Amino acid sequence: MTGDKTKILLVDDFEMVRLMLRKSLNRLGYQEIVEAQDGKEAWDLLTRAQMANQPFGMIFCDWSMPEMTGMEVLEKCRSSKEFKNLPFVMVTAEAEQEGVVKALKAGANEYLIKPISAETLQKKIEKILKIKTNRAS
Amino acid sequence: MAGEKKLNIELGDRLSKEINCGVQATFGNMFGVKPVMQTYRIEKECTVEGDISGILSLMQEKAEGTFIVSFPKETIFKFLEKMYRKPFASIDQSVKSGVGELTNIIYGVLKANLNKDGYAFKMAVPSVIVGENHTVMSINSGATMIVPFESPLGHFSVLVTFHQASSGQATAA
Repeated sequence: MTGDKTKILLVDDFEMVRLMLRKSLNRLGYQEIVEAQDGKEAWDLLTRAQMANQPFGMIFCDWSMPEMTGMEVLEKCRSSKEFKNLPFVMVTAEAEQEGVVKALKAGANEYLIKPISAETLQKKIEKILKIKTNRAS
Repeated sequence: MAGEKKLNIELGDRLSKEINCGVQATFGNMFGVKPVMQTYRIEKECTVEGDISGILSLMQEKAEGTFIVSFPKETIFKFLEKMYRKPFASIDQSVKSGVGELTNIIYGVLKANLNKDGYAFKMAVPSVIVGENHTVMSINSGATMIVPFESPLGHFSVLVTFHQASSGQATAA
């Protein structure tokens, strides 16, 4: 189990995908998980948690959503002082190289392509945690 | 060869293989279930033997078609019960959005695999239709490939139809 007390924000307009990711993250030991169903709700939760001094430690955000897309959330995060270093995982059913490159160029730390296997999820989280640790040391 | 646009894919073995890859990856990762692909058949009409279907447009530069994933309600209820750990008795919003997302994910895998070989299919947004044994009719549609799947949680089908080109031939067949 690789989990820690990292507070995670899951953003996807499909309840089933959020549920699947939540279960996988729970199995990896992450218990503090908050869900949002679109980018706008995600941004509200991010800012409110920040103001309450209970910030999120990682965000998994779907690429394609109503209200505010994953790319818009990412761009907003990276242009803000508070969230410019927030570990950001873009989740997409769009397996095209172009979209992945676009997300990584815009500042996503990692990407996940649906359907997401538990092994891939674990590897990506470990990679992000390693980057976080290196940055902190 | 990757990068080179191939526009001809037949309703046949290659397509059924990629559909099976998409189904296995999706149902394996999301539900821990491995549906078994049955022998596909080609029919003139696109009649769906299901109660709820996810539908999206297959779009290439020179070809258009329809991709459908269709479930009897008993099957999709059992899949979702496995995920949600609660019973489903009617086709509610969770069921509809679940079918839409499953269709989207299966097509994402299929498209990625085909596009590696240069088929250049574009991403599309799924719609969901509900109704007992509904029929999907589209103007100029050609033959339909029906790929049935059996699983411990019930059966379902994936259907692909390509539209006819003005020459009378299916543009993608």
